Amino acid sequence: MNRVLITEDEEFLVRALKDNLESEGCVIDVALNGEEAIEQIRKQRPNLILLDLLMPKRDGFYVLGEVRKNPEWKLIPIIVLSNLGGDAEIKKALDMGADDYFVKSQHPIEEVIEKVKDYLEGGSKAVKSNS
Amino acid sequence: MHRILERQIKKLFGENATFPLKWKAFITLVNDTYLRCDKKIKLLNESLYLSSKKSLEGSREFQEIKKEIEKSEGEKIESFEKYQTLINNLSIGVYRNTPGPQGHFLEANPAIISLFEADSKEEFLKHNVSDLYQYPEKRALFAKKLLKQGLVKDEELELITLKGKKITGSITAVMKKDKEGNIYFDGTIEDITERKRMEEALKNANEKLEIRVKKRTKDLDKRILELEEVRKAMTNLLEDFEKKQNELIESEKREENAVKDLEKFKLAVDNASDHIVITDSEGVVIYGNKAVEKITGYKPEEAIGKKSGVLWKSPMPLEYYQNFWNVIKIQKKTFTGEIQNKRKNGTIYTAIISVSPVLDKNGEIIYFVGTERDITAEKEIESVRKGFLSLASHQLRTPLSGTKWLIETMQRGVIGELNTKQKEYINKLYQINERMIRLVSDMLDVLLLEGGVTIFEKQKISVSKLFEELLSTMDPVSKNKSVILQNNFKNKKTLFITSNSQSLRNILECFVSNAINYSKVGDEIVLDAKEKPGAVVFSVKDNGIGIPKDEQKRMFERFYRASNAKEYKPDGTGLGLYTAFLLAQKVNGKITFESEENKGATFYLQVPKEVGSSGKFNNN
Repeated sequence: MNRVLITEDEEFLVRALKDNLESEGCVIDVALNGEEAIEQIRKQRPNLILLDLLMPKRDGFYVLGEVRKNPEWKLIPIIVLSNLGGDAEIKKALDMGADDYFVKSQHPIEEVIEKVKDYLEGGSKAVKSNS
Repeated sequence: MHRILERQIKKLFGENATFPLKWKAFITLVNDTYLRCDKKIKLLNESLYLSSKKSLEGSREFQEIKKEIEKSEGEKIESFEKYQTLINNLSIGVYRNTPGPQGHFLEANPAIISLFEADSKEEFLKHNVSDLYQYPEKRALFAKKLLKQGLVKDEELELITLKGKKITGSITAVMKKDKEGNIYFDGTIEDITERKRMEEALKNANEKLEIRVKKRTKDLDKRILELEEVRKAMTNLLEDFEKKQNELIESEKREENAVKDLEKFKLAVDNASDHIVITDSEGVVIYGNKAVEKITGYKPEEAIGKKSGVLWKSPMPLEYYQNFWNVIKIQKKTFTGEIQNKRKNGTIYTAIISVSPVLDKNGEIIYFVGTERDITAEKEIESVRKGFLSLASHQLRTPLSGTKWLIETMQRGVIGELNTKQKEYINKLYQINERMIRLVSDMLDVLLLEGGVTIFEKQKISVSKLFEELLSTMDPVSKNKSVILQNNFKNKKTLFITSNSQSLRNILECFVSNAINYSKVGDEIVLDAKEKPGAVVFSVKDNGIGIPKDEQKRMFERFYRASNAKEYKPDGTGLGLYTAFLLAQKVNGKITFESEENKGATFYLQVPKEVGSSGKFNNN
């Protein structure tokens, strides 16, 4: 069974993602900010992380950094879901080790779900920008 | 004087010869004798004639005549003896000889014997006349001439003495006939060897003199010509001098004006708000205006003599400097770009710099002229503005993306099936939300483009590759709408341009996207690119709804949508072409179109093949 951590401060987005992923058979953990995310990762050891960037307390970049520098976590796939669509943010996230980047408003949720499934099945590992 | 005597004397002694008194008396005597003889011969002849007529019976008369004749003969003999003496004493040669090719002498006076260096008269007379000719055959010629003419005067002959000395003789000879009819030549010969030699010498001297005179004349002519040339040159020089003087006056005036202009110019440069620096070819500052201090904190006099790069350099990536030097020093072109430099007080500032090499007539760099515009404040404002826009767009997108995903979740049936009416409503909501998302995205692009001081990076772009990328993005969209994208540039020759590839792609995407949106199912859209001098023109042609004539001039207005487009596709944002227009400005391009309502439209993007020589566009 696959555990997916949704790190997102907007409740309605959490809801949409959770409903879709659960229908795909995933177990979902939710973190509303960066601090919670680190805690959840430590506790749940998710198979994949969906990561928002702008969040209260610690932001997504912090989480990215923490995960990638931790030898036990560094291989967990991270898909950034953000509405920051600037080239600079995308580049920064990918440079810091994000596996994928989606600008939420520009991609159907289905695309995100398919991408998650790919990673969980060990398929897509290619780094690409989906801005 | 008797004419024969006179002639003889003249011939012997020359025209104006003078004689001593004794000689004169003698000549007079001879003359008298001649005259008397003539007279008597005449008388005798007459009387002979008379007597022959009257017969010669009267012996008395005959005796008298005989006596007379004897007397006259005696006188003649006497005169002949005197004459003989005279001849023998003449210094000029006198001879008698016979005609014929050889000829031999009958008589010769001592002068001729001595002239031909004979030992005696006997010896002389033994020789043929032709023996005395240097060229004996000439004797025959001379004899022939004398026989023909009867008289030869002053004939010059090349003779030779019996002892072999070559001499020149002047001969005067007469042909005579004696009573028996024998012909002989009487002549005189004068040795003119010395005279000839003198004459020859004189002639040579004359010739030499003439040659010298000629040469001298020639030299003089040459000298005259030279002098004429010199005169001409002097005249030209004087004219030139005058011209130069006038030019000098003119140029002084011009210089005066130039100095005034230069003063004005310097004043303007000194006080320009942009920092202006002139360096030598090594980058050492030789001039800086007042703005240098304002921007960098260094007074111009502090900067002069130092390397500008060292003074206010703040480390930029190595490639930046490599490109910078490559452009200005190797390509010898103007570099324009954004740079971060350091003020004297250590703070960093951002500037747009433009550095141009100044070349001498051989194309060698003598100076660099650099201008710097401090855009730190603008950059800060820009940064704040960008930050705000970025955040604003994030904040706007977040609820929109929430709506989007929630609706999509419902559409996917994850939370249960919807009835038809609910599906219809949900779909409508989805469309409205999508339009909102596009609007936010387009507005953000416009706001960034409108206010930005962002400098667009340039890349070398292959046109065919650009089309390939464009088609791979747009193909799914066109298939969705069932229109055909036709790439006419395919298989054309390689064409490269230097520009910002992202901007070109965005503009062309806008063209193609509009063409798809306003085409009918099954229509064809044709993409092409053509080379123009210094530029490339991209074109996207459709057979769609077209643009009404009276609305065409408003097509690049913000949010403007043509009436037929609104009807045909209600959810457009009206920002696509405006964004394309702004982007085209950023890459120094130009957008134009041709269209007829219901027949379609062709949009053109013309971009320079190469803009400037720096790595970036200057968008001030």
